[in-house]
Amino acid sequence: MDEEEVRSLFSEYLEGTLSPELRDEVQAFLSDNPSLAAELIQYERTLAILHRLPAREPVIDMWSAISPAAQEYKSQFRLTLKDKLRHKWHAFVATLSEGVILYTHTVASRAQARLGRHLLHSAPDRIKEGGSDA
Amino acid sequence: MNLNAESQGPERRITNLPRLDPDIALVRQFRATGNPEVFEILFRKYQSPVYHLVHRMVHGEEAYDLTQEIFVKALRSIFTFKGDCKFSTWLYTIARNMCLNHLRDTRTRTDREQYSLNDSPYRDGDSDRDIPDPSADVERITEVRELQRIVDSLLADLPDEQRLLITLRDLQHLSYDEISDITGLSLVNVKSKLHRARLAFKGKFAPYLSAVGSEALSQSELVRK
Repeated sequence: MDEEEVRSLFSEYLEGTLSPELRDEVQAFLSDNPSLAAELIQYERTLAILHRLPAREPVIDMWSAISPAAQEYKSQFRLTLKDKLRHKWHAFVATLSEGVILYTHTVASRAQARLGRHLLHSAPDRIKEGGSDA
Repeated sequence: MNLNAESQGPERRITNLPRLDPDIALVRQFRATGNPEVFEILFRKYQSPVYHLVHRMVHGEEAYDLTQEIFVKALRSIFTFKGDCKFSTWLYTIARNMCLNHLRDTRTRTDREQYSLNDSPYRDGDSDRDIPDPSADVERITEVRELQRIVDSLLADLPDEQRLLITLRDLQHLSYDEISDITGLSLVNVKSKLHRARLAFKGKFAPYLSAVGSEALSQSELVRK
């Protein structure tokens, strides 16, 4: 491992994404090369400053400039009667399908619960009956 | 027989439902209704991060104009958003393309006006881009505004791609995956190019490093909070 190679691993070293073996190798190299270690500290400090810089916030309200385009978009958004009817039809079919699915699900859950209760109650009687037949 | 399903409460069942990304839900609603108020919600949510990116890329008053153009473009091309990535990634991709196009156009214009190729495109009326002389910086950098100005100036000196990568990763804290989607670079390429960008920035920032006082950093923390 040479100096340039270690330098190319600075980012990954600081982000902790190096494998343990490689990290140990970098650490060993740095302990023998104080100038490169100092460079790493400088690199880390520079990144820390960047990371802590506050975001640039807009000081003017830009929506007023975008709003006309949004209104224009809405005005272009007029649907024909055919499209409106198609939309309503699809919405109706979707609601109906949702209702059918929910109803079927409820019926199935109830039937399953009833079957469970029935099996639990009738099982001892059947065992008794089976025993007396034998 | 699954009797456990019976014992699960309604809360448990609700949490098991797949969650729809709220941004995608808003996009769908906007597509279906064209209601500007729906788009305004998305705009309010993303105006700051997009403006932040644009400001780091082009700076000055142009950042406002370009941010507005980005949102207008997003509004007009919202039907092309397929929902196969996050809305923010899609928006950032538009922002990235428009910033790079803007910078290219500005440079072409500058070239046509027979300025030097090495001149910064921000030169016209943008004194904010003047790089401060580190030797003249006798006092410590105690104000976060001053620090911002220096960082902006030094970033402006980097190539566009390097500036973009540093902004997305180190200033906007996006993940490598998101940056890869936005820039169209592979993950490995993003990492190696970002590393080169960071080294280039570090080289430029070195004279100022010792001058950055803890006051400026603590102010940064306060502003971030």
